[in-house]
Amino acid sequence: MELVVEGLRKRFGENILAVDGVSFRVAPGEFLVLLGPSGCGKTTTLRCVAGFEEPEGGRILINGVPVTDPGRGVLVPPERRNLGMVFQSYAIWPHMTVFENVAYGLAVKRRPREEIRQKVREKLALVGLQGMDDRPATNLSGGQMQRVALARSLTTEPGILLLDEPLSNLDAKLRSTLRFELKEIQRKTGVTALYVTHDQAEAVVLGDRIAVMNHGRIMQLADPSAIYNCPVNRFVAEFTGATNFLRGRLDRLEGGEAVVRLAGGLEVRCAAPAAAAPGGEVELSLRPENLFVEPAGGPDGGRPNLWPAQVAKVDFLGTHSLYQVKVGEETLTVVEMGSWCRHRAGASVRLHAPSERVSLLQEA
Amino acid sequence: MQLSIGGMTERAAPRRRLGPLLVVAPLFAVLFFLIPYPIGILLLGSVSRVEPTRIGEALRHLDFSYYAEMYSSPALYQATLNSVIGCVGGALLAMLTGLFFAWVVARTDIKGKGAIEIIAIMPLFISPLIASMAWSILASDRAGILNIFFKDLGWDFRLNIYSFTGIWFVLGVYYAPYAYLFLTPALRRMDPVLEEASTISGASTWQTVRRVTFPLIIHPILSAALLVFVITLGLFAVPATLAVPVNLHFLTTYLFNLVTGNPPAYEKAATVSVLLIALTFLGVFLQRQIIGKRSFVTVTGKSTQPRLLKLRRWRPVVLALVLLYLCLTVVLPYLALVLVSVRRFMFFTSVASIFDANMLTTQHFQFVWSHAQAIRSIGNSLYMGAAAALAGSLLCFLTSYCIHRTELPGRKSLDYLTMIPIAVPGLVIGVAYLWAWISFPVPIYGTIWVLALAYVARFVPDGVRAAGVNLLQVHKELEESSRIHGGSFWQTLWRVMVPLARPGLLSSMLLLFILSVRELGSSIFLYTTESIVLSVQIYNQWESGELGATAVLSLVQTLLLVGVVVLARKYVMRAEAA
Repeated sequence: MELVVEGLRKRFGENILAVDGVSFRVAPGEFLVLLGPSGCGKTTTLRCVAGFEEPEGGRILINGVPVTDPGRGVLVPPERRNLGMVFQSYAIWPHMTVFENVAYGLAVKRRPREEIRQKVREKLALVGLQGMDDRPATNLSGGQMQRVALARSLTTEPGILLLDEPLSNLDAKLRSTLRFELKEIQRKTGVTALYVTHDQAEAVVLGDRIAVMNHGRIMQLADPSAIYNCPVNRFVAEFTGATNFLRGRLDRLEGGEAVVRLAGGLEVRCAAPAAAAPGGEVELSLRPENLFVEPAGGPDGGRPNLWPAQVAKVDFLGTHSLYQVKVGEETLTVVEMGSWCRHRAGASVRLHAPSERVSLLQEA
Repeated sequence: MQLSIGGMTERAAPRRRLGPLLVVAPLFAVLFFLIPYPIGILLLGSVSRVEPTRIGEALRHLDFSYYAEMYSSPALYQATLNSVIGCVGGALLAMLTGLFFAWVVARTDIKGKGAIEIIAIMPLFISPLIASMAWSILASDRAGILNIFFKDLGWDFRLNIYSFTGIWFVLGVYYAPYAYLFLTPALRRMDPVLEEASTISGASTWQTVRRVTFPLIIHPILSAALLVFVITLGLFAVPATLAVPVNLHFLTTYLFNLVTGNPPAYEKAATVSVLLIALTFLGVFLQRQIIGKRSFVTVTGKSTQPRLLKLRRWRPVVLALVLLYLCLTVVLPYLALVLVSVRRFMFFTSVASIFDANMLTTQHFQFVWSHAQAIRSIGNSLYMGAAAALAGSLLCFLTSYCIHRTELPGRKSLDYLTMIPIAVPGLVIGVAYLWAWISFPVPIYGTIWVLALAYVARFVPDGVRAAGVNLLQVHKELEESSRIHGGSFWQTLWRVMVPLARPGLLSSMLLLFILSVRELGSSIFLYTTESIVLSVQIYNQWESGELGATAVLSLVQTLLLVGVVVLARKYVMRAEAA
């Protein structure tokens, strides 16, 4: 099913605007991730979709039908929205068995016993918990509880699945395996998914698209690669990973590329966004893993953004190394993968920043 | 899909407006008639020349002369002073005793903590009436069993329970559990690092206690003392048995005399009630202020086990004190009651005569058995206790649910409403009910049900608090998870909330039952010969000097309560294990 959120606004108390005009559309079968720091309004947005919170403004439509529309006094209760939800605390009922937990949605709808049995079996198999039916729900590990919660959210065959940081209470290893399983299950069932998390690695793996949120607003809504490689502003760039920022003036446009002149005179070429106009102050984001340190004196092959530089500091981190590289007046952080670091502190080198991987932030 | 959601939308909008009203309005109505209505009538009665149940007329004849008259009376002044002296002393002693137990349990390495914890709260199950009667048998100045014992030993030392010291003692030991329950978590929560930091800076153990530990728990300590003060201020049984015999009047006994005098002086009683409410409110207010100011540095949440003091050679001393407490609160009083219940006469000449087999008798048991009113009072107590427990915990559960788990309008006011009785002593509730229900269109007064209503009103704060703690332990997502997967509000309540809250629900029923069966303050104004309850019967028996029957009935009440607790625990535990 399709989910549309339009201009959602939700206030807590007098002054706290938790959600401030959030709009997005999740296509049928799509997996959308709301990503942001705590307090950015992502969970509140999800809870508005669930029907637990009543917003002050905006609309929420499921398959074109308004389920929340404060303007018209519409607020369909959660139980009639045909949703599934996986909670952060799992919310597995401790007084029921695994079977009873998973069967709940069908039991309250008074479905025939045989149908319930068959569907619960099916869903338990889907999450890899065959034969656990009669276990008391309290007798499960964290990962198993989360699987039960997932099975439960799917038994009613909901149109939309809501997930509220479902993996955040698990240990790191389990989290990364469950991430892939979750994605696989979503693909298999074809359910539309709205997923809330503060973990960018999770967002990148799971999301068909990611909405990065801050201060109750969506900063950027795009596919994972675009979020990572073309962040629109400083917040998105920083929140999705480590990055170097450079400030300068947009000097000119040349062959589809923009040339930015830094305060120290250094020129940086980068892909030009459509709206770019020469003359303005701009900011660039250069990911440490997209910068390359090369020995001094090799052929330059006519590559742009190849600057003479000096290694100021080296931190060896086992699987990779971190360099602090001085270019003109700027010091940039560079990541070099591999367990051998190839350059020493003090060495004179060249730094290469491929122009297609430098992003010009559209908003300061 | 589209169609069904569309259909739901149409119905959803109006339902949302009506639903909350259907839940909150009845709760408001019930609580209103239980609490603000009778108390309002009482207040109105204190300032009106006319019967206050005729509200409109009473409002047109306002008259403050009762206050002028009463508040300048030396007798009231003396009673207030006595109440304050008696309760402050009792509260301080209770606080010290409670602090001792809290410290032993939370901060020392003593063995057998489980047993010590039970000893520390045991007196909670003994009604203050029984406790003070038993102590007057033990330590009345002339005929007290302990004094006879001292005489036999040739000691000159005599106890006199009919004195401020005696009252301080009884309040101090029997109300220590309240302080103990309040202080133990505070001592447990204290981050050991704070004390270790002091030790590492070179402070001795004593310096650490004085400079770090004590300042950290001074607020809980004061708070515990105020809590006990507030509870004992409204207490009738203890001053009635221990102070009145020597013509010492406390506010509660003074109030009692005004109401039971001939003719009853309701208006004057109302002004005294207002004074009691004001004093209690002041105590509650100060206590809240102190809790509010309590520094939360002690609460780190991560602290594991506070540093335990090694008692070493002091262990026997601590154990002796614990056992002494057990003797003073439970063993001696019940030995005395058992003894009196099987003896022909109460008066002993020597210790040896206590064991004189010729004096043994079952006449008191036979007397009670053939005493129709006594038997009826037992049945009534059980009946009203059960009614109050059932209705009360249902009311408290629903109210608490609205307060903690919904966004319903008016839930804050519900919360305040249920807190009112904290500042209203039982005796005052009794007077208020007496007055408010006499001319109420629905005939409740004079029936046994007025007792159950008064019990519910009195113990609503305890019930709501217990239910709240219970509800807050059930994670909100457990409920939301039901709603989102198709369970309606009622289905969620029935299938998820009730089963999860059941153990707590049962224990709050048990609490309300115990409190109701023990209740004396309100019952003593509201009973009739038909609806008499056990504690009133015991008190009346005592007043008319039938010691043997008093002792028998006291034992019956204790055994009933213990029996119900044991059965309930067994049942709850079995239900939990399943």
